[in-house]
Amino acid sequence: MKSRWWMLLLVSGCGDPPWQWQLPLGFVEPRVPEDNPMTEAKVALGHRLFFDPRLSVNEEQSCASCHFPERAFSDDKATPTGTTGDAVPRNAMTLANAAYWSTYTWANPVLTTLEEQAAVPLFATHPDPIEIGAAEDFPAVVDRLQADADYPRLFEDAFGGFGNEVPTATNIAQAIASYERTLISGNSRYDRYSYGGDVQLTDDERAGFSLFFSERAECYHCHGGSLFSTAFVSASSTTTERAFENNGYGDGDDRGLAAITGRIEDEKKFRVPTLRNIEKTAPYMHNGGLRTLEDVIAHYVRGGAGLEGQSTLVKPLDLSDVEQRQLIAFLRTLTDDTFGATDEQQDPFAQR
Amino acid sequence: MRVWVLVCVIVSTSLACAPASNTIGFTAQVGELPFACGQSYAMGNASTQVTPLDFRMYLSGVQLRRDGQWEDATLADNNFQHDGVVLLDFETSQGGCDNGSPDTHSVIDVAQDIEADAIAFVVGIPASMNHLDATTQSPPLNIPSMYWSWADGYKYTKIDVRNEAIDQDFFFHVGASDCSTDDVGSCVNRHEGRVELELDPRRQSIAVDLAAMWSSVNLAVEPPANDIAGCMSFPDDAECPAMLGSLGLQFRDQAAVGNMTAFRVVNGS
Repeated sequence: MKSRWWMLLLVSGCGDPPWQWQLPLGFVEPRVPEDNPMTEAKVALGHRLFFDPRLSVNEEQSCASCHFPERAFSDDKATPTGTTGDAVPRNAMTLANAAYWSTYTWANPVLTTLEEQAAVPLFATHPDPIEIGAAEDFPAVVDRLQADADYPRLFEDAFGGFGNEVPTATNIAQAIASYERTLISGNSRYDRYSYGGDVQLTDDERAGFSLFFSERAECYHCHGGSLFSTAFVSASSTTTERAFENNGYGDGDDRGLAAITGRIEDEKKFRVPTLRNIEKTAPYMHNGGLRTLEDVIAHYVRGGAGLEGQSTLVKPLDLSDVEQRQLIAFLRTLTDDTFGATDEQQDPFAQR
Repeated sequence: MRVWVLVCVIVSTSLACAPASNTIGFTAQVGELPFACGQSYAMGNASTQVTPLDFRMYLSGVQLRRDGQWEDATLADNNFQHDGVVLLDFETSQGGCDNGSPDTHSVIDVAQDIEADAIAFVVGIPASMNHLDATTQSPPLNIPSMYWSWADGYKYTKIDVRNEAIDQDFFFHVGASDCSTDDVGSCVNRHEGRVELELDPRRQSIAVDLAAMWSSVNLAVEPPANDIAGCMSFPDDAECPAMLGSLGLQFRDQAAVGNMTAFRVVNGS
């Protein structure tokens, strides 16, 4: 037993201080895969890799090309275009609090870690759309990283070496996932109202708050919990709940969850997205087809498009224009103005 | 552990061999039929076909009666029990219960001798624990879909079915209502009630009957266009008085409707 202890210390050592979570009030430690424990070195490496266009096949796009810090790590387009011009069919999701989702991307029940998710845009090849395209010529990517002044040391610190074995595709995905896990946003006016007490909400915002959590507007059944999505897991979760719903928005031919499961009852189901920072993540829905929050509320007031298999919870709403504006006023209290602004959340190459 | 192996060897000729834990058993039923995700049942006063989507409920305030005296039961702490609150979880995440979780829990695990002649419990979560931030709580109080919001607290029950006749879901969510968003924890209606059952927990268990909860509901009729079928504990929720009545609860300030029929004692532990 004792000798095993020493082995553990050696393995987890590598001169790396253990990770300390700095969590906002009301936030709990995220679930972290056992095979990729958080370390400061991995986060520091992931920070650079996330913003580095040299990962892409033509050195043009990085993760940050579709996940802008100032837009809560989403972008401003309906759907993105990959580094070599491929159309990507779904809207780039916010990475705010991405550490806490039970499944990743818009509708994939088997993508359950950020490591697996990160590998998709990094390494997808045709017939899937190429996003970063690192797998198109991975040895060239490794050569570019190896020639850099900082990466050899960063990989050494994070993964204990840089040479024949490192960096692997897995290392890159693990470092980026570790970095993404640190993108935690919990300093909105709503949080400061709820936890800090140093902020008061306006009458309209409070009216919108009450409507949001009422059976009249019915928002909170899917957009519940502290991140306003039931697709939530944490380190202390002993169950993992899925949260895929058909919200009656069916523009386009995307089958949603059914594209993976093949089940008719999963047709047009997508993961319930978080509403935190929703003001900064327009346009909306899986294909970015709704331009404004007003358009989104109008969709729900209509009761959706009346799709086959549409959630029973999406029904016509009897909300006045004033009440619809109040709902939007409440949604804007979920904006965290400080998120995306720290050095760790900004482009490290731009800072030089 | 070795002791149990020995006990098991001795008694294994006739009995299923498991440590004799102090558990009070529950079985989910639809009338006389066993409940299972993926099965189809006739329910409601028009015998309409439904398939389950979810079946979970919180119990608390568990007491056992010995020699005429009620005593608070001390519950074990595990993934489904914490601080005197139990989550009964009959859904398996299979066969229609897709948005649930695979693990189930169908007992109250008591950390003391369960010799008793009656049990009492409350459907729901004590007011002092109902308005915490669910995200930061221990299991089973951190399950996202069992929680409404800080103000309203937890869903004491999340029992949902697909009404096959009209192709719509029907929800049964009991919880506190008319709660203040300014004075968190202050709710006009707690919707809590005590259930008492005479039983010997070592030889008998408790059936939780979905059909009894739905017995007042006509599932053959489509709800109005902007109404959602079910009882979600809000004012003017027409299905609520009788559905809550089946759990032995009063809806808002109304007198209890009907008798408590959702829980009954069955032989076999």
